[in-house]
Amino acid sequence: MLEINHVTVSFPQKGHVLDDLSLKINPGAIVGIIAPNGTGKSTLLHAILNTVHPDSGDVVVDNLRYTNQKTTQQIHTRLCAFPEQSDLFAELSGTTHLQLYAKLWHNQRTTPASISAQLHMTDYIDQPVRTYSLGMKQRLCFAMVLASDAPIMLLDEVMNGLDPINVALISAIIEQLRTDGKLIVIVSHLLTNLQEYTDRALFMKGGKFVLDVDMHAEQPQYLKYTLANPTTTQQQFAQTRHALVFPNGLVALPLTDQTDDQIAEWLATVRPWSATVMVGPITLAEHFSRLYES
Amino acid sequence: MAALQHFAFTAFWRNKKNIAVALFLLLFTAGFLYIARYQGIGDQLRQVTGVQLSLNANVNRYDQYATGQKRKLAVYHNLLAQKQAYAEAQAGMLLGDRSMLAEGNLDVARIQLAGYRLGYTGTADLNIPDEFTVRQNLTLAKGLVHSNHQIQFQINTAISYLILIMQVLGPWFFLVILLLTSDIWLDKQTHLSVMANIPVTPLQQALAKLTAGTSMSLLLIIGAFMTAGMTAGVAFGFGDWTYPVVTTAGQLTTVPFWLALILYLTLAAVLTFFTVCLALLLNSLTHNLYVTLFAGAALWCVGMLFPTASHWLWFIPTGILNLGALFTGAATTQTPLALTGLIGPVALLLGWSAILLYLFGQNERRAQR
Amino acid sequence: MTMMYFHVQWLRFWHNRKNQAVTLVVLIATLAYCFYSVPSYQPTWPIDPVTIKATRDRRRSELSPFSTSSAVQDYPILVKQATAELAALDQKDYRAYAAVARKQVLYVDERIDPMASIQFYFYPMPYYADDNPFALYDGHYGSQEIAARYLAVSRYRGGTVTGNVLEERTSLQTLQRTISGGLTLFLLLGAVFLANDLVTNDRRHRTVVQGLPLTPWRALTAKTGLAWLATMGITGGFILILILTTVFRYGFGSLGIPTTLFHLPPGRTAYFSTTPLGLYLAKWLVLLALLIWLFTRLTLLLSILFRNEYIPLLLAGGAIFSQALYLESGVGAIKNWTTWTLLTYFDVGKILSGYQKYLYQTDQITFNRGLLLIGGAVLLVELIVLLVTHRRHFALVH
Repeated sequence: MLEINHVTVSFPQKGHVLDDLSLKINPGAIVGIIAPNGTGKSTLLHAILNTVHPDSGDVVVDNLRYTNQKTTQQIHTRLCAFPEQSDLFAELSGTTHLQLYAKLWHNQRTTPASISAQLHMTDYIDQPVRTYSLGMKQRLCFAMVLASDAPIMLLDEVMNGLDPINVALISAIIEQLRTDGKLIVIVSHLLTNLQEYTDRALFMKGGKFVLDVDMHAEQPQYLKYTLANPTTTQQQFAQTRHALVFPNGLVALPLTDQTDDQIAEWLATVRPWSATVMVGPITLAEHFSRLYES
Repeated sequence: MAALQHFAFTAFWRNKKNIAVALFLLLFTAGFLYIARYQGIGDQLRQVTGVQLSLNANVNRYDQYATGQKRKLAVYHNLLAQKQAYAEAQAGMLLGDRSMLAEGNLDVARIQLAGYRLGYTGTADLNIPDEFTVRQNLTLAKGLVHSNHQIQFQINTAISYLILIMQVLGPWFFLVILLLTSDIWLDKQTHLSVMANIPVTPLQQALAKLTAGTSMSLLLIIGAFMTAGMTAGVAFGFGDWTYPVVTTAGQLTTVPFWLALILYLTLAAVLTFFTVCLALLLNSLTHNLYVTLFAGAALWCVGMLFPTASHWLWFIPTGILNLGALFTGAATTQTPLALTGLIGPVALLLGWSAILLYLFGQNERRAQR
Repeated sequence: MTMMYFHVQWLRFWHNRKNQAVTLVVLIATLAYCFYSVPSYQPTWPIDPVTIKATRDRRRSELSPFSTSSAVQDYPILVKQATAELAALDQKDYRAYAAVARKQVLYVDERIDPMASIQFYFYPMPYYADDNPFALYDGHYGSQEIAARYLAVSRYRGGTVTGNVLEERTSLQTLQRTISGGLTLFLLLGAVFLANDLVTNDRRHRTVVQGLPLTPWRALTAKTGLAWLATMGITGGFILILILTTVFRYGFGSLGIPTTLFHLPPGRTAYFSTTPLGLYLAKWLVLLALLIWLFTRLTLLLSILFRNEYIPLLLAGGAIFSQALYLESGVGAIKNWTTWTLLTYFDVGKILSGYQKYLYQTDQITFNRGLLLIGGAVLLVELIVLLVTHRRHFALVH
């Protein structure tokens, strides 16, 4: 179990990057952290890894805290963070990288060979990393986290630079990891992709979580349509029906407690205004737009 | 362009390695004064017994194994005469009679040189200074006698200390400059995508690096001399700025100390320029600080460890990387450069700098393609 | 699991261009030494029948009723000894030669008084080189040493005694001469060069290494072990090449060959004892192994403290040669602290031969004190490393 208790981190000239942040995650869950660039997502992961030390508050992993080097090591055996591809050892082979992570995290469950087969890397896994393309390196970085088989995996921008086929492949593996009981914290900008498998989505702003979406809870339905330049009548229509109005012109009318007749009437009203009208929950991408687009 | 120049300067002096090297050099030049006096380096009084013993042993050794022939007898007499002439110098030193000491030194050098004219037949295992050193001693002794200067036989003024520093640090300046500039072109490698996008040509970048590297290194050398001069000057006084120093102008000659210092620093400037050009090329070829350092040091080692080879390869700059030997002419003796004084080696270094820069440009152009 | 970390470090270590360059430099220097310096070695006390004969014949011819009284007294003995030396050499009986030559060396040595203004006898010429003011003292030291060694060799029954053994040309003796000449200092410099970027290099692989479930102390120890092994390996390579290039020409030598050790007991006459070469080499290996560990660890520690790879190079590299700051002939007799200074003990070869005692003029610079000081320094550095790496938020990579 991963707990973040009232963690505050501040940097000179940037103020509080994490402001009294708390979070508790149980194994077998995928948690997506969503925010624009430079809003403290990576800082949060660093704080979990203890490479950034909080001003106050603490991180607890399986009842262990970063109190000394011994507990640090004990926590680190339970955690594995996704490395950056520019930090790989250019002269060493992919296999060596996988072996390093597998041995250091005492992985008894899978082998480097099986992991590279799973990620279709067998052809080049024994070549030095300097010969890899960006996508190959990105897959290797993910494979290293798999090789660790750590109970908690911190995946920062894991889908960067991957083509849709590989995105699908890795997404499937991440879902499998959840089934295996892993706790996965994922930071991604591919919100549509994240939407498919994340159990919980946390939006960060000003060093705090401003929105916590439980993806398994029943989501409220909305009638959604887009208006580039709404007239006064259109604005009044939305306002009186307690609509959510997004900066990009999207208007969402809450359908909770509305009768079918009422919904039909609204639909009839808005259809001439907008080319596309949809019924459904607010997506992660739409939340993102509402929270961060000015 | 001014911004680029400024950037190159800042990158140079903010480099932790360069700060460490500079501190090390400045501390050394100040501290070596203490070591030199403590160890008696450059102290002729301490050498008296040694010279005497050595000359005696020479005479004995020659007497035992090489008598009987007329030619050999001449050498024997020469060795004896050296011993007697040195006794005069020694007496002058012990009595504090500096003119007697100067005359004695002059005689010893003259007789030793005469010995070289005899060919020193059968003296393979004797301890005789090499011909260049003898000529150097003779030139200095003559210069002292002619200019009526009081001979210095100890490090007891800033001038005598600076003359010592010129000789002691001379061989090492090349390595110091190389150490300073061994990563001069590497930021281009580590920040490739950033540096490649700067809207200036590689030539302009190289020029900025070259100016920064040369001027900052030279500034450090001047700083080292100032530190040395001030340390000794404050401790013992400055001494005689016109004291004769041996250098070469086609043949060995003496110049007043102030002129010697100017000449020496001019040579240092040329050597610095050459070294920066070398570092640029090696950086561009190897992309590695240590390989640059070792390759440059290998060139320097040839001149230091195999002087004969470096005399044969006089057109390759290896022996002349030793600033001390370059200044006295020891580096160019017995090469076609000897007749040109300091001008020949300077031209050679500048010529090589041009070649290195050309090769550097070629390599960078090829790398860009 | 640390083994895997070590393995990856090892692979990275040898892919590092600097380390490749260091290895290449060592290889070239080794080859230059073995093919250039070793063959041109001239023993200070050569076996030289031509000179022995020339001197003998000359002394014999100079003997007349008009000779000086000292010549009348000395020459017959010296001539007799020289004849015996020549006879022994003629029969290739080097034990006999050593026995007689020893007598002659001592006989001449007794007749050289450093205080006298005129000398009638002389030590071999190399002692007078570079206007050495201590020529007569050095010559006396050399005479006593060669006499002790010759005596031990003439009684040595562990193997054949050849001219090469007497002139210290065999492989093992060449190694010993190299060690006494300062090999240790260069190996230590190599260790510093190999270790200086081991920690700082990790910065370029930050995200790969920072989360590894390994305490900084363990990671640092793996790195230390790596640099230590590499330096020891380079030492082994040097020894191997040295042996291969000398064994066929001069013979391998034997671990039992006596080698000398100088003693300077206070208030008594200085003397030389002998120990088997094997013991000398074993003691050297012990101190070398400790010193390499010390310097590797120190370099790594400095690179952590300064977060830079060049400053440790200058500091640790400079420390190796810093004995020059206070070393002066006889300094140990005046300033006892110099015998307790670690810097005095880096040139292990000179500690083991006792030459350092001669240089410092004190009997206190011994193997045991060296072991104590170096061991103490290792413990101190270990303690500092332990404190530094066990701080709560310490990380090797920033």
